[in-house]
Amino acid sequence: MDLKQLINDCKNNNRKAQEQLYRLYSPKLFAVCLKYSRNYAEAQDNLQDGFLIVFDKIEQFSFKGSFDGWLKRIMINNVLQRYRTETFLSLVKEDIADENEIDIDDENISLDYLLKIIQELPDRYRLIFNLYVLDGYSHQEIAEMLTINIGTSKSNLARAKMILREKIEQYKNEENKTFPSAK
Amino acid sequence: MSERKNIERLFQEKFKDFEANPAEEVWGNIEEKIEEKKRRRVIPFWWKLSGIAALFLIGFFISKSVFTENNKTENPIVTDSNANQQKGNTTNNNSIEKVKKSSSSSSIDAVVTNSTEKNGVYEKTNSVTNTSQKSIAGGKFKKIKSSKNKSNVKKTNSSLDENIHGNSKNQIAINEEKKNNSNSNKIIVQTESISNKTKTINLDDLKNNNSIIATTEIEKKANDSIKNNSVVTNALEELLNEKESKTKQESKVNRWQLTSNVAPIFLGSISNGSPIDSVLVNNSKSYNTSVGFGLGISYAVTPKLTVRTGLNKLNMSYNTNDIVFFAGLESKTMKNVTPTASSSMIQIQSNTSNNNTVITSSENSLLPFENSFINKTKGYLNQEIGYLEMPMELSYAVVNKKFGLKVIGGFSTLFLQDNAITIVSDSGNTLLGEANNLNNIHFSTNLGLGIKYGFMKSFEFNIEPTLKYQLDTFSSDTGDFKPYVFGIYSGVSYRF
Repeated sequence: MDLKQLINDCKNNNRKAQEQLYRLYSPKLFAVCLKYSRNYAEAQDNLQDGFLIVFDKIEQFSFKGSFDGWLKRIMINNVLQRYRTETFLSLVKEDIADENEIDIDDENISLDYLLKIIQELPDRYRLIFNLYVLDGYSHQEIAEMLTINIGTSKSNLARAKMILREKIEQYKNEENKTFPSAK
Repeated sequence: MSERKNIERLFQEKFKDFEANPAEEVWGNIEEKIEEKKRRRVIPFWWKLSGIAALFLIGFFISKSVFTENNKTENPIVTDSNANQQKGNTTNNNSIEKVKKSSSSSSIDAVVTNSTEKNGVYEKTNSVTNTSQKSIAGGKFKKIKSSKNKSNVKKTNSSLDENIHGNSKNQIAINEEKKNNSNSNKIIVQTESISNKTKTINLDDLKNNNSIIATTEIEKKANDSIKNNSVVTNALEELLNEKESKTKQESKVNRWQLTSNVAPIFLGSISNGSPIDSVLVNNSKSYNTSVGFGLGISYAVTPKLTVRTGLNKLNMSYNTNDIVFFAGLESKTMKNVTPTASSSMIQIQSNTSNNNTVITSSENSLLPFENSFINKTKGYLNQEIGYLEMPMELSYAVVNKKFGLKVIGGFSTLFLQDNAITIVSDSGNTLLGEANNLNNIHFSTNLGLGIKYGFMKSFEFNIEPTLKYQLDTFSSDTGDFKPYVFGIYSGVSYRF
């Protein structure tokens, strides 16, 4: 089915079209929600709220730019709105010590685990990490989206990566303990 | 530096094609919400209608009091249709709420019906508890459920009354009791933990929790607890229904408000002048403080914007100082005064500069010998004007909590009621007559600030300092007398 036709049907509040759109895009958008949310349940809530916004605003979509991108932006904005208000008291100094040199061998790290440790990050770290690393936003853009300084964005990102690295190391150590022969 | 790239690249590569399927019933929830929204959109249409109806009502009152005689036959018709519209409005609201309620409680129904069918239990209950379904699959059951609970607690933004909270506690307590009977330790622990967390949980969350409890039981004690469950949920449902009817009543509140007010009224004029006679323009005026009182009714179009009207009694009086009066031989009164029969011979002169040589127009007419006969008495003129005021105002709430602050603007129609001019002197008061240049109807523009304090559920205390600038008070004005009224209206209002 033609995407344009589908979108137009959605604009006319056609329930069948809306459902089709949902079926088409929910896997991708749910992945976005999972990355940006604290856990599975909240991700599902966010997906639901996000789609409601999509159906509400689809009238405003004027076929300029990609529809995928538009949907994703709505999802991300929705998630940001939910989490950025919850102020996170940063006890960490803005300037972070430089990273230590550890090579990460990613062969045996599962996606589930990576998702889990992303979700475990404090809200703002998680948002910034996702925006910058996974969705390619610049620090400038992130700073505007979250109404923070660029410096804060950078240092929070560094801090997020530090936490993630620690967790990955931890994971590896445990792996090694369980399977010492593997080394 | 290379390392930094590594961790970024690690995540980027892993998440490049990351997709995940949400639980099946998410779409159901979305669909439900869309439907709900559609129905909710109908409401503003009714609001508009009832707003128009209110306007008509007010307009009708005004016209009725202007053309008192003619409208008697129309009266009942108009008010009737208005009442009907309002009734329609409220019933419509009710039905909307009912639908909303039923849609939200349908999830519980699903559990109840499912729990009676042994086969479909596991599959179908996921329509209620998506998370638990997922978590069963993932084997992380407890963890995710507790996080769901947390998220429920977070989402308590729709504030309900303590009443309801109390009730929800009760329900959970009942729930607990039933669970105790079913001898399942784990479940008791869970329900307890839930009851600890649900201090602020609202109705919907309660339903979620109950349904979660229901599913856990179904899983763990498939056959035994099915009956228990359905009994529990039925009892719960009844309680929920009770509560919903309560909330329904409560949500109907808040729109209409009846207000009584009393106010000290300060009269003033922005320019000197005299509406009585040009002779008295330069005489000093002293404005008396009087008391106004009234009743008002207001209708909240939105939580912030309120339309209000009412009926106030408003008296103003002021004195024109430094006059002398005496009995003349011919009827020569003040320009804008219609004298009473007994006072028509009283002549009044200005005595401004405390100088008897001031010659006024009326004095000029006296024959020289008359001056020596007359006995001039010093005193002042008091003019009293009483109005019935019908305000038509909009108030906008800047702050709308227990303490509230609002800005009020609008206009009033004033109907002349009392009209008297009295001469006051040491020797006594004499009614001179009434002013003939006062318009029977005039208007004022109102601007005020309101402060309110809610002291009981539906009672509020209000203070509203309001300035009312009078337009067209006098038909033929003399000497730029432009009165305004400043009142500090205070009173108690009742919401219903």
